[in-house]
Amino acid sequence: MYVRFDVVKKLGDFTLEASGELRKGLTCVVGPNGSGKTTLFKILAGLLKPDRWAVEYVGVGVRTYVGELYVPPDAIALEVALAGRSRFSSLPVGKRDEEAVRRYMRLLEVEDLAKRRWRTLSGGQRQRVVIAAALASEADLLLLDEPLANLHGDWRSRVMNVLSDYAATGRIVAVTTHHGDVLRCCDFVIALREGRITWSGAAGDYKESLDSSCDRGTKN
Amino acid sequence: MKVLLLVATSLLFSAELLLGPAGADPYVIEAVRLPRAVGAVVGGVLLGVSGLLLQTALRNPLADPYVLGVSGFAILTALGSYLLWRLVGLPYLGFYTGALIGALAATVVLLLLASRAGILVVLMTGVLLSYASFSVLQLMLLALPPEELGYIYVGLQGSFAAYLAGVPGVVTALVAFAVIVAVFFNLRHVAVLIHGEEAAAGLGVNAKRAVMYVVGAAAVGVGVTVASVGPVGFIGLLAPHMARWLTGRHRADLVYVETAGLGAALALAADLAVRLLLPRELPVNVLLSLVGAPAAGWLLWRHVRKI
Repeated sequence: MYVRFDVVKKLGDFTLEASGELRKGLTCVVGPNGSGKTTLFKILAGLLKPDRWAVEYVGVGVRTYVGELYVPPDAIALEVALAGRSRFSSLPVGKRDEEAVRRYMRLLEVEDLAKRRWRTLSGGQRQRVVIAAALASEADLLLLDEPLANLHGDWRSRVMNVLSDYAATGRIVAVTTHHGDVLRCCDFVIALREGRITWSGAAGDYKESLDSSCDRGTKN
Repeated sequence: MKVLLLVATSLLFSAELLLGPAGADPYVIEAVRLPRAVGAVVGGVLLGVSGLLLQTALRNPLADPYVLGVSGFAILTALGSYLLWRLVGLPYLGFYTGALIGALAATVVLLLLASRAGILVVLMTGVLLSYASFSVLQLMLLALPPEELGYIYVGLQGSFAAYLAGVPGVVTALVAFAVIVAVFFNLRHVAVLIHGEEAAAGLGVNAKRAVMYVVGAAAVGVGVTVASVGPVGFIGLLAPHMARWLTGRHRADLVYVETAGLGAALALAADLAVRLLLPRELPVNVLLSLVGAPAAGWLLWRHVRKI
């Protein structure tokens, strides 16, 4: 199972021109603001139509992209996490969906918040509920745009560990992040800069290339 | 909660059948009160469900077919098609078809607007559409002879007594039932629209199809209601919010049955009240607006405070 892409997308002055591959495991896409991370993810999720377009999804059944999610302030957390289950059937959510979703909420330690109103949750708690919703989709290809936003220190690596475990069950998980400290949890790294892929490969090699670039004094 | 609602609605339905100045006269029950009671259930359920769908797809807690002008525009096109036939001799589309076209057009416009503008803009546009529709209606009525106006004015104000007996009434009720069932089987996808169309698509829902379901169901729901009992107001606003308040839930698929039940109960209760409690019968909208307007005001206040 893999996703191979070769896409070009022009947005005003900005052009994304990227080709590469996502494989089973956890891929971290890094790069400064405006480097094209979100654009690439939206294209891979099928939400944005690129100008030139060649994406091959081999063996991928369902895919899920989670970026920004509007939530009405009065919604309760469990209902938000249930959003991920919507693809499975057309019927209203049942007891079995609730149990499955609660399992993922427990992984992210937000099960106690299930009955709480959205407006009463902190940014970090909301973020964990949204990640639980993403995992509850049980998609083969999971694209998470900035899943570590609003999360602090310890929780950043814990969320990455949860995602890594999920990927280890034979699925493709890709996340965008600008937190360098979590890269050790990733299997692969893709580095973007001004719409182009400047580096891609196994995460272990990326750390070495980082170190060597630091040696040369070209910071970033 | 569902059982309680079923009992309450059945009680109200029986009361609507049995109570009245003529007592329990079998003929009056069959010819007058039964169509009226069925009309209240059909109208109440369809309006409640349409309100819930519009609130979800527009992401607007104040969405209601009447407030947003969908009902007003539907009655305008329904009467417009009648007038064009009467006065100009164009082929008669039928009151129902006219109402359906109007409801569909208004729903599509509101949804298109909602993807580009904030919820207060959508709300104001709906209110303006409603005002404009009723003004144009009044002007159009100048074209009719005065002796016909009495009946039409009753229809314009919304009354469950306008529901037709016999085959047309049965067909209308069956259409309503079909809409309710079709929506039930697509609810989970529709419910995710509350997070925005793009987010819904990202979560694996066919968002375009879900929006089409909302447009179709809301348009048929409001169109059928308006054509059969006129523009009855505020049930579409009150029923979903009462359902959320009673269940403590928010998602459309978790409050759907309660919303439908409360829509029917509200319509029956309001009709009983205007029929029995007042010295002279008034349009049911008078009572619904008295309850609905402060409720809408309260919701608006909560929304504004949160911004």
